[in-house]
Amino acid sequence: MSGDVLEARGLGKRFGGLAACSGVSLSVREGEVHAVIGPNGAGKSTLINLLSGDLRPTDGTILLDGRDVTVSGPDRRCRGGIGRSYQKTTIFPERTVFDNARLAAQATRPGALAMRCDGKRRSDVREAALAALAEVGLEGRADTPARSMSHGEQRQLEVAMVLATAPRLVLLDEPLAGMGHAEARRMTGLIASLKAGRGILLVEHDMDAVFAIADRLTVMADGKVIASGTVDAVRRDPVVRAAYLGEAEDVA
Amino acid sequence: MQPLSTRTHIALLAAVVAAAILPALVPDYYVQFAAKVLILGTLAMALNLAVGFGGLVSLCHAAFFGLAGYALVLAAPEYDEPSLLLTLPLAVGATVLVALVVGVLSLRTRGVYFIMVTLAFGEMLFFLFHDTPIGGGSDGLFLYVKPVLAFGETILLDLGNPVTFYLVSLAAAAGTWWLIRHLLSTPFGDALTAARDNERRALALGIPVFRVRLIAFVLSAALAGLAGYLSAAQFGFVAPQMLGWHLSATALVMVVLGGTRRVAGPLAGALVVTGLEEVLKYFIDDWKLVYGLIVIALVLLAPGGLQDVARLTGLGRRAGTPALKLKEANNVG
Ligand SMILES: Nc1ncnc2c1ncn2[C@@H]1O[C@H](COP(=O)(O)OP(=O)(O)O)[C@@H](O)[C@H]1O
Ligand SMILES: [Mg+2]
Repeated sequence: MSGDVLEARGLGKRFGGLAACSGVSLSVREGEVHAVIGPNGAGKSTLINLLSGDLRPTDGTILLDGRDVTVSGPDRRCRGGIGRSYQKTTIFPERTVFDNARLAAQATRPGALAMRCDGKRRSDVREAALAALAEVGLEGRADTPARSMSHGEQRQLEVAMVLATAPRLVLLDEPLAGMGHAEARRMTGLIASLKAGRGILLVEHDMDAVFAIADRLTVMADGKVIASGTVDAVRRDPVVRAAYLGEAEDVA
Repeated sequence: MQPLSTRTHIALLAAVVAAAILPALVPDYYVQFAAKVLILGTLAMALNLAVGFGGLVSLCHAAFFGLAGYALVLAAPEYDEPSLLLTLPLAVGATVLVALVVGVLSLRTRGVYFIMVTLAFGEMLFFLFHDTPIGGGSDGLFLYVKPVLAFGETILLDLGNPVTFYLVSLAAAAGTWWLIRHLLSTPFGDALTAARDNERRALALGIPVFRVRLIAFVLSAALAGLAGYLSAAQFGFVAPQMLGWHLSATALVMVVLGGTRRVAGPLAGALVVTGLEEVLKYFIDDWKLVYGLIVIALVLLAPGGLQDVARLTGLGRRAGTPALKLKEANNVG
């Protein structure tokens, strides 16, 4: 149990008759990238939504640093240390890049709802926002309106916003989707660099990236975990080959 | 909010000075009219804190306005001057309590549902005063003596004096403008507008959206209450119409006309709507029809305001979707 930033036990989510997730147990340790793969509709985004608090699970328990957060809302969980990106980029497009990062940095610091000071003048918030932008390589774009950036840069900005909240656990839902080759490689390197002092749960379709940076791998299909373990062990797993990866050449 | 530039500072100062010396320049009738505009402008600016900056299109702000007015009249001794220091906090306090309850119950809903729920609460309060004897029923109540601010035997402010009353209304409008503007520059204001722009992202950044909206809603109701208190003091009369949806909708029209993005915009909207009513009443017997048509035309022509409100209720987006689907269906077929 030591070193587990996140532990989920028997998570389940039903939408009417559909079990989008059922009996999902997994953990994320500090300093590791735990990748979750699976075909479309496998329940990966649902799993992330359950972990972030965007959805309330129908079954199971979620522990963050050993504390039960199963019934906390998304804002509480964020203040508790969970940061996330969405499959569909979710930023404030009408604001500048810096303002996006500033809102993120401010919301998780003391005085997040202060009514007396001027938000723009807080140096601690400012520094945290700029540091997060620098970490993703957007420090030169601070004054650009977010809407006028490329898709890839907007994805980077979303990661910077997550970092600005000083998370213990980062949940990334297909961060490379729709990115060009160079952008994707850059983002892959960035994700790998984030794991120091944090746990990363990465949902991604880009297998090159997954195999390059994942420490552990979980495979989902039809809302269930069908295999989990080290990357090598999962790649050799016959069930995975048959059920999900199909064309064995792609895997090996 | 950007810091004010020197030019804005000078313009602002000029406007305040001009407003302050207005009573010396025009006949009493216009001073009273100006006070009315300032009071309705305060109501509209207060409403816009919820609508424009919180994304909460409320249709019950007249109820807060009327409630504070009734509170003043009910708390006032019949033949003695009511104390401003007692009755104003009482009226605003009563409004805050009711707004807390309405807010807690309505802020769980979104978009059109929020409009409906606030409308229902507003009408409930309207009928509370219309159909029960607590506030004189449909006839309303008179306030025979206007509130005063006294220090011992010395009267500092007498709201019965039209010029004093006008200056107090001016201070209320300016104070409301300053307060909202200040609030928007604080972390609280950031959280409020972030929740308006993208609730999901705001929550995922750790912003307690419900609490932030509730605080903003209650503050906005308190300021509407301040306006309602002054309105009751100005006319010396309260009636259930003061709480009804008609006034809520009129305040929303002021917001739309003045624009939702600027703090003082709704004040300009109040001037346009109230001025139009005044002019038409003077020249036309059946003024209400013409008034209605002009207001509709203005609302449709006002840049941005209507689109903003439609977007905040989700009407704008929903209206766009079927057309898009139809196009896709045609492409397939
Ligand atoms: N809000 C929802 N309501 C109903 N069904 C949903 C909802 N969200 C996801 N689903 C369904 O749950 C299943 C898993 O979806 P999702 O978690 O998005 O899969 P993935 O991210 O692995 O592609 C899908 O069948 C999807 O249609
Ligand atoms: Mg998905």
